Parts: sequence; structure tokens; C-alpha cells
Amino acid sequence: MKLPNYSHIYIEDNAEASAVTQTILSKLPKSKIIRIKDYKEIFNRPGQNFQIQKLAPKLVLANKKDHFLYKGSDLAPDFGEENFFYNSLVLNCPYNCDYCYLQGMYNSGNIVIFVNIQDFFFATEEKLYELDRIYLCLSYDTDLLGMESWIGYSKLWIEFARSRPNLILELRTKSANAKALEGIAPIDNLILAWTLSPEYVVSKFEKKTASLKARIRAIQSAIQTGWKVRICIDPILDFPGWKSSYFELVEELKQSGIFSAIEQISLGTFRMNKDYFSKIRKDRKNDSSLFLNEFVTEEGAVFNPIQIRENLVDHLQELLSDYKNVYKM
Amino acid sequence: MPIIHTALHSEAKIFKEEFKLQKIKSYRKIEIFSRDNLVLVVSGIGKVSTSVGITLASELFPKSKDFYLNFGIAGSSKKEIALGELRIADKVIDLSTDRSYFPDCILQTEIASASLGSSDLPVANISDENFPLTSIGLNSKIKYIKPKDNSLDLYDMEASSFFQSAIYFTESHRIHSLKIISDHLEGIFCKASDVEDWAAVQKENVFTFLLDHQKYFSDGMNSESSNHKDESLESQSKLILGKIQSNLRLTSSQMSQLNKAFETWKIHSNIKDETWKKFLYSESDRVNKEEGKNRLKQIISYFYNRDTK
Repeated sequence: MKLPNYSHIYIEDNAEASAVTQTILSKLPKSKIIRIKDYKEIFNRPGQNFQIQKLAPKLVLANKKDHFLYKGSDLAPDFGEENFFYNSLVLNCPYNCDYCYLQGMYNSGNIVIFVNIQDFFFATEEKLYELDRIYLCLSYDTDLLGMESWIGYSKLWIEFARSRPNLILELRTKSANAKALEGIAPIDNLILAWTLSPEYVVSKFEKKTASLKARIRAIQSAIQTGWKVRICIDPILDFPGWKSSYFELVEELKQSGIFSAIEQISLGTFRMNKDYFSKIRKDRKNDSSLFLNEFVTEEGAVFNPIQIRENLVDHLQELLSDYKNVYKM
Repeated sequence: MPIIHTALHSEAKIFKEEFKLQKIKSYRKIEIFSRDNLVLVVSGIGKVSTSVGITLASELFPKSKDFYLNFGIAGSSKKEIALGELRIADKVIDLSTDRSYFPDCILQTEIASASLGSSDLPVANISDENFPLTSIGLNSKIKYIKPKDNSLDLYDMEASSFFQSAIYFTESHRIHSLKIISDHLEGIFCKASDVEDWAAVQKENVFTFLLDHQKYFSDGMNSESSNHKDESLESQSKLILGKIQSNLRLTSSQMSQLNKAFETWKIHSNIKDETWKKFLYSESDRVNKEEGKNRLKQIISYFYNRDTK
């Protein structure tokens, strides 16, 4: 039988005293603590198997030394914002989606949490001062809301942004953890972005994530509390029966009554850096049917062939024709 | 099957007896035993011998590289860990290079874990005035070193080299080290008979650990495609796809596209569905290249469940 998640916590020597470290340790009292000098000695070591490690992931608590902000990728939507940034508060995600680029980006399936959050705040403050307004995605290489109950980063960022209206935050999630935000007064400059997929995709390709129904219930709850919500149907996947699956998804959303209250719907098809894609396809060709599909490479990134992309997006746009604010990646 | 490594014959005895291993080869003091692809390397003490032993065994028995286990004695800096107790290493440091190795612990085990330092010389925790070691009970011919600090639980002379070598041949979750406590760093060598006795007491734990890991990580685990494997169907499909290739005069690149589309369809569909066989054109249906291209497009669209179904 496999070990429970986070059975081992590796802690960098200089990260032990951090308040975040102490909070996490108090939430996971049964974990075995192992001291390390630098997170890279465990996270970047050779011979790791990403998918095997995902069976029983470990935690690594570390201090990030530099690069507290990154310029947004061309493969990610900027929603018309000029100063689009993201940060890496956490490396890797508690979930394990077949189409996720992280399995191509990292050697390890374990999760690194950078506990020196004040350094991230400081870098963000500096950039905000320099540019006056920035759009910052907090949860690109991870799912912060999915880990909120034992890290608490979403709350800390909301409080940081509350007095900085020109800092526009996006918190993207596949969790159903709206409860984690209970008791926090909503702010206008945070968008909670829920990635939604048909239930077939959730169960087949989005391992460990919340079910579609649970995510919809979480959206309803967030809206009711007064949070701004964006729905991301991204990536729209190409699989046998995709048309009827996405039809059912949109019908379910219509019936849930959330369309009238959400800020925006964002659509995008599968896309990935070609080096990450090659690595993942090699590792997972016998393990996930997703990588048996047709793909093309354009300017260093891998996509579905153009005709398929157009079919997928056109179909979704048609299904969502009653809804005006649709953003297409 | 695994490659098991020990430094001493007294550590190797339980494996030789349990698996009825026979000596296959020897290279000076390194001896290799085997039966049915289970391999035991008895390398002698030290990092270089360990590294050579692991490399030889991995090259001689390529089918045995699915699991690597180092088993042997270690001194404990913690008095509360009694002689004869068994520990699994959760962190190994080479005391010469300060380099660390981390086994991936994925499965539950009854065996408690411990950190382990590997040194070039035996480690003894005695006061400065006793160095060099000459007092009664200490072996005056052997040089010792002191434990580095109090952070490490155990000390041995092979594990870091075992990890460093084995990672060339397999993945980190398939490499582990189990240690029996032989002393508390007093600088006294234990007897071979004591080692054999301790190993005999722990052998059920060791074999259970070995079997659990082998079973769980055997090839094909958690494989989506393995659920669909049916050998007669596989070979039948190959024949039919080959015939389609020949009739439609497909190039190898076109054939590769067809295979990919078929694999996708097979995983998404009910494998008993035989409707796809309508694409098996008879000999009289041999077509020119252009028509072959059109028909290939039609077949691929069918497999990807597109509009032309």
C-alpha cells in the first residue's frame, strides 16, 4: 500500500524558522522531517519518475533566492492587460492532469513551497511602483486554493492586494475549496478563475481534482459571497465524443444559473512548449490516450492541427452564443 | 528481479539460503550469485568495491535492473536504536563529498527510517584523547574518523556509493538501503556470527520489503494501455493495419499516423467493436497513391471520431 501524501517533508536549513514552515508543520504533524541544504538537491536530482512520485508526493519547504516575478508567457492569456506577470510561490501542484506542462517542465512530482513570502510581496511592491498597474497570476504552476487549508497563501495575498487596487490578481483553481475564503471580505482586484471541463475529462484526464459538480457549487458559493469569478474552459480537448461532452458541460453551467453573475468566460485549446511536450509524450505514450492525438508544432509550441482547433473553439462559441463576454486565447 | 548488494558474506547469508543462489562469477574479492535473474553482489567493504560490484551486476544481468537493494550493518549514533534493529535509509550523505542521495519512499513499510552517512573509514564516537585508538576493545590497526555532527542517525561505508552507482541504471524509487544496527560507534567490530543472527531475525521484514516493492513497481503498473492488452487482438489488428498499408500504398510516415489514430480509437472505444474492419480493402481494391491518401484521411477521421464517421 502506498504512503499517504506528504509523508515526508524536506526542509531547507534556512527555511525552518519561517512562520509559513511552522504553520505547515502544525497541519501535518505525522510527517517525517528530513533536513536538506538546498531544495535543488532533492527536486532536481537525476532518475526521478514524475508519475510514480505523484502516487505519494512529498513536500519540500525552501526559500526562493531570486526571480520573484516572471513576465507572462505568450501561451497564457493576458486578458488585455499590458503588464502581465506570474509568480512561482509553489512548484508543482497537488493535482495531476494528463495535459499539464509541469510534468515536462520539472523532473520531480514532489511539491516545493517557497516559504519566504515576504520577498515575493517586496518584489511585487517594487514592480507595482515601477509600472503603476500590474496583472499578476498567483496560481499558474500550482493550485493555491487547493492547498489553502494548510498553506494559507491565498488569504495572505488577498490581504496584501486589499490596499493596492492597481494590483490585479488572478487565482486559478480546479479545486472546490471556496470554503477556504469564508470570512474574508471580497476585494474588487481579485478574480477567482475556475478551470472547468466536462465530467468525462475531469475523471479521465484531471486526476485528483474536484468533480465538475463540486466546482460549480464552489463557484455559486464564491459568487454569493461577492467574489469576481472567471470561468476558463481551457484546454478544450479533442477526444472521441468531445462535441456532446462540451454540450453537456455548457448545459450544466446554464442550469446552474452562474452565467448571469460571472465576469468572463475564457476559451483555449491545448498548447504546450515543444520541449515539455516531447518529454511528456515519451514518458506517457503508453499511459495516457491524450498523447496519441494529432499535434502540430508552430513556433516552438505544440498545438492541435489548426482545423481541429477551429472546430473546438467554434463549437464552444456557438454553445456560448448567448453569453457576450467570451475571451478567446 | 532485483540486484541485492551486501559488503559482507555474513550479510549475504539470508539471501543465499532463501533464494538458493549459486555463485556465477568472481572478480578478485567481488562475488556475484544468482538464480532466475535474482542477483546478489557481495562486494567487500568500501565505496569503490560497491560501485564496481553494482556496475558489473547491472551489465551482466540487464533483466535484473528493476530494483536495487543494499543490505548491511551500520553503526548508530542514537543509543535508543538497539543492536539488531532494522532501518531504511531516507537520506544518505557521502561524508567525503557532502553529496546527498534521497530514496523515493512511495510504499508503506513497518521498517522505521533513518538518515545515513557513508564514510571512507569506520566511524567511532570517542573522545579526542583516545585518538589514535589504542585502548582495549578498539582495533589499533584500523584508522577511524569521528561522526560529523549529531544530525545523522547511522553510519556505514557503502550506501552513498551504492546510490550513486545504481542511479545510472534505474529510477530513484527503485533504489533502497536497509541497515541493521551493529554498534553504537564504540569502535568495536562485531562478529560475523552476530551479523548472521541479526539478519536471520530481520529476514521476514527484509523479504517482505523486497517483495512488496517488486510487486508494486513491476512493469505495466497503472498503465491505461495495459487494460486493453489482448494478445490475439493485438496481432490481428497488426495484420489488418498491415494489409490496409499495403492496399493503400501508405508510406511509413502515413502508416505511423494510421497506427497513432488506431491506438487512440482503441483506448477510447469498446475494443469488441469490429466496425473499423470495414476499412480492410480487398486485393482488388488496390488504389493509386492519390486515392490511397484520400482513403487514409477517411480512416483517420473515423478513428478520431470526426465528422466523416
